[in-house]
Amino acid sequence: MQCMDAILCENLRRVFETAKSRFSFKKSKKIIALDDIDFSVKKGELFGLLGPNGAGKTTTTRILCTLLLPTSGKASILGYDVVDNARDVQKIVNMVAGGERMLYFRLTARENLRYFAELYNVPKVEVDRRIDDLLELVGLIERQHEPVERFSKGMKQRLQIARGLINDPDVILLDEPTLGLDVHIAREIRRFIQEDLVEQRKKTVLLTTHYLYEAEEICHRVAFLHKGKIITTNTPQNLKKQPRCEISIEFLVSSISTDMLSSLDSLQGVKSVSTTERDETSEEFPAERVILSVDEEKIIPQIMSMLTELRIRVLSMKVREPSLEDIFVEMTSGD
Amino acid sequence: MLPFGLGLTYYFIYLPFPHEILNVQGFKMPLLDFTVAGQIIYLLFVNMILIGSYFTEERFQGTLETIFLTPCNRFALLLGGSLAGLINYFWFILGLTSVVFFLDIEPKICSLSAVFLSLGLAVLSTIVMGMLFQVFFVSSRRGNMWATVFQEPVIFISGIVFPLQYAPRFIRMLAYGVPLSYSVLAFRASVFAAATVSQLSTIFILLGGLTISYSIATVYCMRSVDIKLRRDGTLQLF
Repeated sequence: MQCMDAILCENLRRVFETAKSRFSFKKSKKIIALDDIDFSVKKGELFGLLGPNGAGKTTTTRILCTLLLPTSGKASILGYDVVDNARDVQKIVNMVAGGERMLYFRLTARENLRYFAELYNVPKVEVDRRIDDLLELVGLIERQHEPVERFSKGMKQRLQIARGLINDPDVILLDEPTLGLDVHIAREIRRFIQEDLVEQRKKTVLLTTHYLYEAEEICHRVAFLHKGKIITTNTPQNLKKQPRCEISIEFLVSSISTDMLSSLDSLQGVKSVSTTERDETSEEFPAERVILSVDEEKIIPQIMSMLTELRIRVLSMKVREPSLEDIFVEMTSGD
Repeated sequence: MLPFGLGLTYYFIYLPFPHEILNVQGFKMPLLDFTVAGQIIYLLFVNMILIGSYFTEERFQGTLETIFLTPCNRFALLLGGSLAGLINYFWFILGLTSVVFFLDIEPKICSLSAVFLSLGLAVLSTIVMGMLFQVFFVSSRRGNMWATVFQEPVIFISGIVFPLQYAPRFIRMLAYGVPLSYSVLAFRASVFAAATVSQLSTIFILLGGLTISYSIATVYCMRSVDIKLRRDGTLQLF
């Protein structure tokens, strides 16, 4: 089937009903995990589905990999409907979840991959070569004959990724793949996703995470999911240009008076000015920190001119762009 | 050591059994032979059920949903589990069987074909019943409970502990729908009552038919359970 989008969700809705006790008069409660969401992911794209815990990220992933049926709406992977063509979807998709489950701990790494290769009906002539490649790729070739129960968390996660690639899927769903991992391993996995999976192997990847900096680092496009609804979908760069997002410019100055601060505040494009307490511990001499919130970076020369005019000695300057986290908090505040 | 230890236990339990001759639905055999044959077939059945408990472990490990991620045939999955159980426990049953034959039990075999056919159909029907029970374990975290609820009455309605002709009518009616009641009778009759294939032909046909029906029921149940798990979202719950 020819299809532009690797993943397509249209009015996707999922409602969970809490179990009702047979002897209770209470009605079961309905929880709307996904509230008519729409989004699409192009082939070869690394798409981030971001949101806090309970936003509906895992529910979305589970629907897309056919582990969960939607209550209403449609979802498809490369043109195959996840409900009507579930078997076809299962052949071309795979999911890797964070955490330590989804592996057989008493089997070795190689045995785990072999078992899943059988379940995916990988051709027998292909199995050993593919397992060798994957173990090499995730850096577990030396430990392939050890039981998984002896692996560290990072190693288990890498083996999970190998398991996720065993059927050479066109679409990979990564559900919080760096959850609970240390900085080095998490960074390595992000690099692996971006360079090996997407750039080299041309896979389509849907990454769900609540670590927004992670998506900011590697995703082509992101969608914010909040309480089952998609708030916005865009590239991280475009999201940072949103009008409501502020850039912070931090100056370390020798001294500044209240009048000088008022002058800075009156500049067009400056939203607010604040200071922190004098830094008496500075090695050179006590300094004052001045923080300006502005709309755009191009106002900086004007600020520098004013500081020069006011004869304020600038010791250092730092420009801080809004992060995806700032944008997300801004967009979801008030809910 | 365990099967032989268990075998010795059975040896001492069965040793004082009276040498009474029973009439089991037209086939005459000693009480002890009747009991031991039932024990062997029932052990086979119980082992098939135990395999289902591995699915509970799969749930805890999170590998149940990993399996359901794949396009593998669910019926093949259950069959694999049953066959694994058969291989795992066959040596156990063999060990137990070899010990109990020290109990002065003399098989009366007239037709080897009848013996192989009855044993083959017994194994096949037990595998299929085991697969159906496995569906309970896959479908629910209370699979253990459901399997026990259905497993225990099977002992009575299959004629394992006493000949069915002495059972109340409603139990005899239920026994018609349980493959185990036919396989136990066929095994007993072919090994201990010198029954031939022609004498057991009706039982073989009924047993074969029931085995096919249970296979179809297993496929249907598994399909329904698959949909239910995905609809309710309980696959990842442990």
